[in-house]
Amino acid sequence: LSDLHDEGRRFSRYLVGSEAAPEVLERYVDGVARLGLAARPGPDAALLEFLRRHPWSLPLLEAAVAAVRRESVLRGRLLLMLALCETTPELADAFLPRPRGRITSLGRVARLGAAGACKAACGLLLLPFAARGPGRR
Amino acid sequence: VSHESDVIVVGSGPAGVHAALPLVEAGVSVTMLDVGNEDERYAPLVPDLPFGDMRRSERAQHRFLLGDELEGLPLGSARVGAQLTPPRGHVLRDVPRLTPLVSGTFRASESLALGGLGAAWGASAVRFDAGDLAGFPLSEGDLAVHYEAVASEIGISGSRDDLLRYYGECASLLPPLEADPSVTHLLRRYAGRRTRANRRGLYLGHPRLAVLSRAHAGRSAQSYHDLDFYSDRGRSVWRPAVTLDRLRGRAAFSYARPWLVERFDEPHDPAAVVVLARDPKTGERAEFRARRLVLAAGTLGTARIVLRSLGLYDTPRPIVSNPHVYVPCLQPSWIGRPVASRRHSLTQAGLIFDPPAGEGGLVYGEVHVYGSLLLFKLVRESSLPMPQALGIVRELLSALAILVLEHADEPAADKSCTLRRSGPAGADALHVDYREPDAARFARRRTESALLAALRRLGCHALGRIDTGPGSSIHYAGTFPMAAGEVPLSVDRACRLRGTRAVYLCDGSFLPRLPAKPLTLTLMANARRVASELLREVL
Repeated sequence: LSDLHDEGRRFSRYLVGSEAAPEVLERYVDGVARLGLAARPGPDAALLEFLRRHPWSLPLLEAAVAAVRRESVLRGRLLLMLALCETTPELADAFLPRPRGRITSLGRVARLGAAGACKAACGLLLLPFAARGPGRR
Repeated sequence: VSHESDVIVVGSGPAGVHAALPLVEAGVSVTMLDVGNEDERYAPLVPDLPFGDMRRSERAQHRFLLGDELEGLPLGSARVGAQLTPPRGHVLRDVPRLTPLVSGTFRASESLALGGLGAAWGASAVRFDAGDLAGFPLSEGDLAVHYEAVASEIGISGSRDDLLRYYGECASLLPPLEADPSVTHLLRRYAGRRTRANRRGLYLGHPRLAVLSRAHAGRSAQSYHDLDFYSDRGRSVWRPAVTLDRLRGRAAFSYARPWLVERFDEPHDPAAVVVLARDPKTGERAEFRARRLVLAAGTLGTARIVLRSLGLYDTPRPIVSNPHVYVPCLQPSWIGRPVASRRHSLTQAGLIFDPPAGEGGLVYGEVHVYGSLLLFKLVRESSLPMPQALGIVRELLSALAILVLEHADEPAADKSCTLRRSGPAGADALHVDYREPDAARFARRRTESALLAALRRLGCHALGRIDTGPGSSIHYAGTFPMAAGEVPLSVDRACRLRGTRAVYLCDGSFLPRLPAKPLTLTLMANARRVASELLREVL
């Protein structure tokens, strides 16, 4: 369970840049069980274990699974944390739109899109290695 | 257990309550049989605050936004029913268990809720015109007075703009609801290019909605809190529960639940029809007797009851359902603008695409904006990493519109529903086979492409096209179509099922085909028409 708490903390930092409150982490742990997001032995479990040991790889591997393994447990758990963060009053402003003007907004869209594509490219190189599992690596 | 009344109405949806209302007002005793599921958990949690304020302050929001069992967090591939938020989840509750449906090709939604599917409808209230009713044994004139009566009862807002010729006149029309600024911008662009848009077949205007723009009959005007998918506070959106509450105040009306109607029987006594029902909680069975029976259990529910009662297992019946497509669109000129804090969650603008003759059929459309259904559902659709996808969605949200398109549907050989025995003790299940012919699908896509090209000229660009598959429109009809002649398993002009003495069908079952426009207002008007015919017989 403490692994799941740590994972929830890591995920919320990654998604919205701040650590989720303890009650949100409890909801995360509960949600993993409710939504059947426990990882069975195989690539999903290997990927989560790799992320636990190498937290720096989360942005790259998440970008890769978003592109090629959309139904993975990792993406399911991140979506769960994203939904929990979105429904937390303290984090509402991270989800409510902020008007910036057309040029600034278009610039941000281009920058975010390019960053996502670069991360996906790196992540796709890393993914086969990370999802293989320690025994077979 | 046995109960008696003049008329039994099965189902409390839009058609059921409008069949019951004129009867009860005339003093006829009516028993409404219904399973009647309700939301008892979430509705009290939704605060009376604008969406943005609620999001920043309400600590219990995760409960009604995501659900206590996280039922509002879709992880599978389903993209249908996003508006069925946790407070609306009861609308589909118990359906797989109590009314099983088997299909590999048809995504059906049925309801055993108080108000039926009307407890979560989008409130689009548009008439069928002479063109829509062409070939029906029923004319526009037969329904006109009933459309007006229903409009007065439910309250319809809209305007007499370019869509009037498609939506029809409505004497009691309330002023239109305020549209989101991004949609007002689109309507302005349309007004400036109207002639060319119309030449291509594109018409835009305010939607016709059963939503109050000013207070009416004890209900409040729309609050613009953008919480219409979560709460019915103030009851500005008409739902069947509004009329049902009026009915429940009358001595001649009895609302009996939870009863799942299994079958009817017409014994020798010519003045009686017997309805057999089961309490889904206890399994207790009861018999209800009346002089007339009105089935308004929804097209699929009514098909089960009729086919089971007549012993017609393995007998295919036709079925039609509007093909339904979502098109996310972007207005680049509106990027970077603020998102309105004051808006409603329902249709912001109406759209009709009526291409020149020979270039496709009429398409009915609705323009929606996105916000209160939460951003994580949009992020999930993206192939980008979540933080980047979230950032992009936030930047583009003010300029994003979701277009919903519906097409007409005709019966065909590959569209049928059949009741089949499925297990011991007489259990059965409705099987639906539905395949849209390739030629029809290609023609539909060509028409959609022409529509989207016309919209692009107004600065509104399609980002993709999501065809949610057969059944996803939640509009079903055609199982016992109205026919002028003595056709077996059809209904006559009074909607009496041929082969029965006193059984009337007043949900979508009677419509021989589906025009592109939504059917709910017509079902309500027709139910009222059926009731007025019944009044002559019963009184």
